[in-house]
Amino acid sequence: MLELVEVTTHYGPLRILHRVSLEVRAGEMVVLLGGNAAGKSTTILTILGAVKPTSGSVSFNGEAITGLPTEQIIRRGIALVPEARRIFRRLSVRENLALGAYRRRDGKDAIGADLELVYSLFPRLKERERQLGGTLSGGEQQMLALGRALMARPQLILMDEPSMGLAPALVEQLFELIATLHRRGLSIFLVEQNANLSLSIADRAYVLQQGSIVLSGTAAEVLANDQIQRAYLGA
Amino acid sequence: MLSGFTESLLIFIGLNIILGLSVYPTFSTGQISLGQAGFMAIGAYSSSILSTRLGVPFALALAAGGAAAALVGALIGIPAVRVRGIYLLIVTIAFNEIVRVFFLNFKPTGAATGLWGMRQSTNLAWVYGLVVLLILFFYNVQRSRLGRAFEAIRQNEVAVGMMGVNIARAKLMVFALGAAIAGLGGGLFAHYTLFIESELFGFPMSAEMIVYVVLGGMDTFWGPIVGAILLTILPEWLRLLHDWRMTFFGLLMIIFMIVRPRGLVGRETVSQLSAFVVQRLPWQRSPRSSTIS
Amino acid sequence: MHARCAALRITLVALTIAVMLAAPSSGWSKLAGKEVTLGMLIPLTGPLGPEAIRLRIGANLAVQEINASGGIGGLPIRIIEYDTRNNPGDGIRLIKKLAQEDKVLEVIGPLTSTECEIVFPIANQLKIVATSPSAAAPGIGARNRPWAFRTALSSEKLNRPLVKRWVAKHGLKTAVIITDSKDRFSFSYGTQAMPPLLEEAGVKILDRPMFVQGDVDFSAHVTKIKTQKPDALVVAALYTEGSNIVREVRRQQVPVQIIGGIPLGSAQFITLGGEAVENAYVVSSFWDGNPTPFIKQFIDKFIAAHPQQQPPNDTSANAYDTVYITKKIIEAGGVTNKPEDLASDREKIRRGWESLKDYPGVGGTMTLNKDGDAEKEGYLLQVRGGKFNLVD
Repeated sequence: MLELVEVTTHYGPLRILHRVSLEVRAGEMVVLLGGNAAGKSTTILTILGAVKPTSGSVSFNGEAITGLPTEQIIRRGIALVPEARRIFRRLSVRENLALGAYRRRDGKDAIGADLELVYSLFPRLKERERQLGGTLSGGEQQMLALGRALMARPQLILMDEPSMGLAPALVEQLFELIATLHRRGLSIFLVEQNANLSLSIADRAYVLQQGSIVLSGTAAEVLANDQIQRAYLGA
Repeated sequence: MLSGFTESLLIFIGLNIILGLSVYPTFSTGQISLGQAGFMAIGAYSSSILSTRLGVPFALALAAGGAAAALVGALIGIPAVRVRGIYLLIVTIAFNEIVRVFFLNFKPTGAATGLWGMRQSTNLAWVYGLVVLLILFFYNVQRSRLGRAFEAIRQNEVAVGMMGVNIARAKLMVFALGAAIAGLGGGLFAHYTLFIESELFGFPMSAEMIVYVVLGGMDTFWGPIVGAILLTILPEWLRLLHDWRMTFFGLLMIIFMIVRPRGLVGRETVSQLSAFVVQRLPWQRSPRSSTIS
Repeated sequence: MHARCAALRITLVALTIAVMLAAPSSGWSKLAGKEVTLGMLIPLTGPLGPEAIRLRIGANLAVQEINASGGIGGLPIRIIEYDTRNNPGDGIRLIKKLAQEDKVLEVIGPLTSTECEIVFPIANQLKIVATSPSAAAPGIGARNRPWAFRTALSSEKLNRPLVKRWVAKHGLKTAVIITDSKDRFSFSYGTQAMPPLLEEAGVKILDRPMFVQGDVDFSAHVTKIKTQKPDALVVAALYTEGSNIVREVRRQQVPVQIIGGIPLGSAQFITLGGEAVENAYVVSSFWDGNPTPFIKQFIDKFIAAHPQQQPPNDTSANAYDTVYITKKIIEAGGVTNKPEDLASDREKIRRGWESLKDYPGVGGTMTLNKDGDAEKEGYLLQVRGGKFNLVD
């Protein structure tokens, strides 16, 4: 479904990603693990066309999308749950969700049905649908960001560190939800620092270090790796 | 029967509402244009030339003035939407100045002697007709998909790009829209004052329009409307203070901005007010379905 | 000192009361009501404020003098004054207020040519005299017959005889006009008023360089002018840029006669220009060093009344004259001041202005022409010894 081949990016003279290759197949949940400044966010921005690779290619459903403007890529069925949530604080919950469906052209009824679906997944959002986004708690904001991405009815969801800044109990709740979405057939590309939880729900994993993929395999294989045990799980 | 004084006060309240609303589209995406008087000039001059020299009917001349301003707005917008904040301010101020000096030197529109000979076609019906149209327009835009996108651009440009909104195009659209409204306002203005010259469309005029939005509120289009009404009427009411009038007026502005830094009318004000009204309506409103319109 | 002031005031009041009591029997008063009201539109707020104050003081001096000596036909004059902020909307609605609600007999103002262009047509609609003591752009009077008048000398009428005299005095054959392309007044002075006048006087214009308000360095302009060797240089600029241009001309020792328009007639031109502006000429419709007794008396009174003790200018003088002319017209023209006669009173005032001839004012001896514009002589002044002196 999504494929990066030998992608290299630079920020000025500074190299950020170095020949990164990875793949998300239809229906799969793939996690990209890495520490701070490993290049995780850059990978996401490159997929979305916000960062242009200096070499290598990105393709979606077999079509090259390298260098396309963001809105063109979004239109092809990719949605983002951005880092630090980035919901619209001075728009209501409902308006935030409506914006997620900005690119859809399949009519009010279909969009309305998806709104009900999101509300059934996140009943809290339904309760607060008229409240401004900025008045929600951190966990609710994360749900809103996720709900907003779902409203685009994407084939693939990119999640940039959804656990960041949330209380541990909330993080577990959130990952359960992500797992539910995955079981419903959604393809998910998850970027995380929280290796333990994300590996427990993902199918496969890649590990990014200083801009290069240093390890890949099924979630179980990666979880068993010594290096990962030491670097991420403190074992 | 309205007195001549009241009637012309109402005309200028309406004109200022239109000019205030011309600032709002750009404002709604979080940018400030300080060159609206330039677009106003383009609308004023082109509609006046059409109505005086070519005998074009008023309605058509007015529309052409708005269209001319929109066209220039779109052309200026292409480079202007690429810059933001203080840089956009500078670009738009410079544009305003270029337009002013152009009309000061351009012989076919009277250069330094100005342009006259228009008939007094502008009246309360024209002015408030346009005001009502604009209110309906903004009301619908605000509730539309596009209106939400504008608001979202203002709040978080990066995030909204990731939603698939074409930000450059949206900004260009609001820039041209604001220019068109200013151009229409300019045409109405010219056919009321019956004399125009470059000096009338300088920076102070642009700044005044910004003040309507800043004072009235930048969250909804009701802000500039309230701002324009207050800022046209207040100086008139304060006349009894004679020479202290503008001092007191300035003081009042400062107090307003301290008490309500986001302007007098906010999103909350509008929803509270409409809830207040709805609760007191004699009939019960049917609960709305939850589809997104 | 204080006691003398109070005594003087009491005497004045007593005198006024005496005159007022005496008035009905004396026969020359036929006015009804308690006072004669006139309107005044001036842009007190904004950059033109100081100029508006000069106008106001001029008019008020006349009102005070007239009221102290019995008013008009026994009634005191009251001026209802509104601030237009130099805003077209304010101008339009305030003249309506003055005419329809305050029911004044005539309106003094507006100040600027732009305001006049907008307000005069309304005065015509309302059939009320509006008379501007200051608007100088050509053609405004002619376009607004029959209710608009100007006591200010329009710029071509001011300049024509003076430019001719200046050209003859120095036998000038060639000139360069340097113009501020951004300032409206300078632009029309340099590109529209002066070129035909110079050509009429037989002067060939060699070049018309432009600069922009705010420019500081004029060395390139002046170097070029030096190579063109003109006899004269016309400086169409405001006083800041004007004084810098003249400084540069003197620094590069270009042998030209210099003349400037009304903005250079300001005292600041001499303050900023210092030695360099010596011998430069300016044209003006008022000369604040005029020794003629009744004009000097006006100048002294004005300086005492001005908050910064500044001398009057042409606007102040014209405003002062306007009030006195109005008094004269009301007394001579059979104005009744009765509410029901308002329209006919205004018409009488209009006819009075229309037929004004050889009025000896502090702003010069004035006749109104068929365009409603003043005809009078201006002054060709030259800077000598740090002051403006009259050129004979």
